[in-house]
Amino acid sequence: MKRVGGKLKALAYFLSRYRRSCARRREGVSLKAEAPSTLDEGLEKRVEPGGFVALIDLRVGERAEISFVEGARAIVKRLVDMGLTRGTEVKVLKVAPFNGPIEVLVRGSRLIISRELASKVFVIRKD
Amino acid sequence: MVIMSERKIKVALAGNANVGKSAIFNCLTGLHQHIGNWPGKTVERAIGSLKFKEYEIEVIDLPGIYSFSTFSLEELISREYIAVERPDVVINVIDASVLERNLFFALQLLELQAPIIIALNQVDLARRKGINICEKKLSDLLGVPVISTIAIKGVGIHELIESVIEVVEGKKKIELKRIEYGREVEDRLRRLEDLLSGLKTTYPARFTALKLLEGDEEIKREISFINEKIVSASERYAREIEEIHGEPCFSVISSERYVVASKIAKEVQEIAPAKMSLIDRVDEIIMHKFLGYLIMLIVMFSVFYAIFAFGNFLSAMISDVFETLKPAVLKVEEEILWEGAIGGFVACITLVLPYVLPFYLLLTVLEDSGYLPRIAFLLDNVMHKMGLHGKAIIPLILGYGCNVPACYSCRIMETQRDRLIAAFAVTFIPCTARIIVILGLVASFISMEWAFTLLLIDLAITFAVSRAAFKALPGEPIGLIMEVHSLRVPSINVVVSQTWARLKSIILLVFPIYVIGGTLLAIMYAIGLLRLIEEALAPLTMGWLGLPPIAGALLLFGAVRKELVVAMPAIIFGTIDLSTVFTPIQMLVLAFLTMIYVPCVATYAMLKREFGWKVASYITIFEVAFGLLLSGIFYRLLLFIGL
Repeated sequence: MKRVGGKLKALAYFLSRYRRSCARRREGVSLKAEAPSTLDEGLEKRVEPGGFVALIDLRVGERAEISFVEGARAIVKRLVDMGLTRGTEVKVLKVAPFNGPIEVLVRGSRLIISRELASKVFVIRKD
Repeated sequence: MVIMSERKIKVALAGNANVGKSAIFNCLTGLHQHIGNWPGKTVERAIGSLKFKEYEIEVIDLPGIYSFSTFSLEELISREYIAVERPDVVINVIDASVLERNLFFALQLLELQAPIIIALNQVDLARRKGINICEKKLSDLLGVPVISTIAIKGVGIHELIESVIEVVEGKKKIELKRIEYGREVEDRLRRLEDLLSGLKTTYPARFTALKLLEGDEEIKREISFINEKIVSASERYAREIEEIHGEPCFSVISSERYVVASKIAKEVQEIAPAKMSLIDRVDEIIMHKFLGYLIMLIVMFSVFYAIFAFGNFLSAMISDVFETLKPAVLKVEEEILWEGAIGGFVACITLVLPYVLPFYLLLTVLEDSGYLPRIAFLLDNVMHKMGLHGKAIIPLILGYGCNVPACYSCRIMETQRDRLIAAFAVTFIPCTARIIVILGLVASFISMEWAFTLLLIDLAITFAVSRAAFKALPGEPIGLIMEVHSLRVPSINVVVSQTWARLKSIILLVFPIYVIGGTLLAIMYAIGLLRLIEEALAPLTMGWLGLPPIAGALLLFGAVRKELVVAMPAIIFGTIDLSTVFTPIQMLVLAFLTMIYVPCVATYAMLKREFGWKVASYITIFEVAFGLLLSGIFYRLLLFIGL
């Protein structure tokens, strides 16, 4: 039940973003300059709804690209400051037993992220 | 002879957690260091000094952080220190094996416009991972000197100091490069910078502008006193950026900063595939879903065993020495005085030295080797049930040795809220002194099973109160997110000097309390004041708890040092056979009460130092009430079972 709720939320979030990105295109603001090229790629991929999964739902060894982080300001800030920004590639290294935290590889360093934080990070699986 | 005038310079060490900052700090300052608190804050501050050429250099080790937001006190303190105290040089210690993440912080230091020198540390570890970094390129890209170091071996430290001096003397120029953000951010940033130019602000204009866009509350407040309009302009800009990017402005800024960090990292490092090293294999095993727990149990058990075996041995030896010093024939009153005053001194030595010293030593070893995050990984879930996260296992384990350093170690938790919950839980953990009471009363005169039962009940209570505190305290928990560093063999230098510095601060706290508190109580007893208190407490001790009247005095003694609860009756009644003094039920109730009724005075002092007297007093009052209530119920339960 909880998980379905999370997915719905993700969908709603995605829709609002999609509208915003359309608005941006209308405005004709370019993202280029110093902004990452991955941003655009990320946006295109995100157009396929249902592509998101929470980071916590990945299996050991899977790679994914971060789409967005939800939650209270302090939490999002903490997560992006630790390098979990949009377009970043993550790989799940380990999942602790008994519903414990996960260990991921991000930006060449290893991070331990608790279950509830990792369920706030939404990603798209990479083949 | 010419007396050279010494020039004083201030150097700060900044960087992420666990990059070898303390190792560099130790290389620089040796034993000339002092660990204390930042004024009015419960964040550890390490200051040291060294003499080099004609300079007297003060080195300050800033807390390990990842960002300059206001997520934690550490971040706030660090940025304030750099901006307000303006150290002559900020050495940014970078872990060469995780360059990208470390550059994210370096870029923020650049934005603070601090005079930076980069110490590219652990280059040996990076090389082992197949990472080669070009110092020169990095130095050019950032516009700051870069020195490669291996702090544990002392490599590069001399060059580092030389470079500090060259910067101070102006022989080496630092020309900080400017980080360009994406156009949408950059445009608005410049407009804010223009608005801010000429104003007197704590931080440089660009840094202030960035923080305004990020919505930093503290900086918003500062600027709103100067010019309300700038703040509202920044809020408008932030909203615009948010509209364009479809994510919060602070998140856009962090993302773009990481993009720059990533770019630089790619440019300066060459990565060759590395084969799995021995230490990686060890790492695999200690984080394994089955073997990991086994090893953790073994490590914990050995740590406990080592400490208690060594502690008991040493403490018995020291007490014997003092015992022989004690005059042979003493009247009861004299003996109590002796026990109170000299005993307090002895207790401190026999408790602090044998138990706390090895605890600190092993804690530092565990910390420095990088094992702690791995324990946190394995135990996060269990700790969650207590309303804490994985790291909290450390203070809880420490608590079994002595609550005082355990409360102190709660600093490893990130937020004040987590620290408080952990410290609160710690005060319920039976320390060595309480275990002595349980062993001395229950295990010796009733049975080992009952002693274990009491300890188990206590564990359950700890769980329950911690969870309750988690529910009751306001604020949202952030949850566990921490970096895992490569395992390493701890550096002896770091371990020794940190243990010593921590030990010193504990001794200064505990010694006076033990000696003065013990003496005062002993005098009160000798002049008969305690009799009055005993009588006043009689309804509680006798009526509610079914204890003999002497319990009133014992509980007061126990508030100073818990082990006196069992030591005092032996002296007062002149017998070691306490079963002639207490009934079995009384022993159980007394032992139970001793476990929870109050944090000892030294723990109170530590709580006060960490959280202020208000919190310390609330905890104390709660525990007195809670302890009395539970013990009364426990007493009636025992009567009911008919022991």
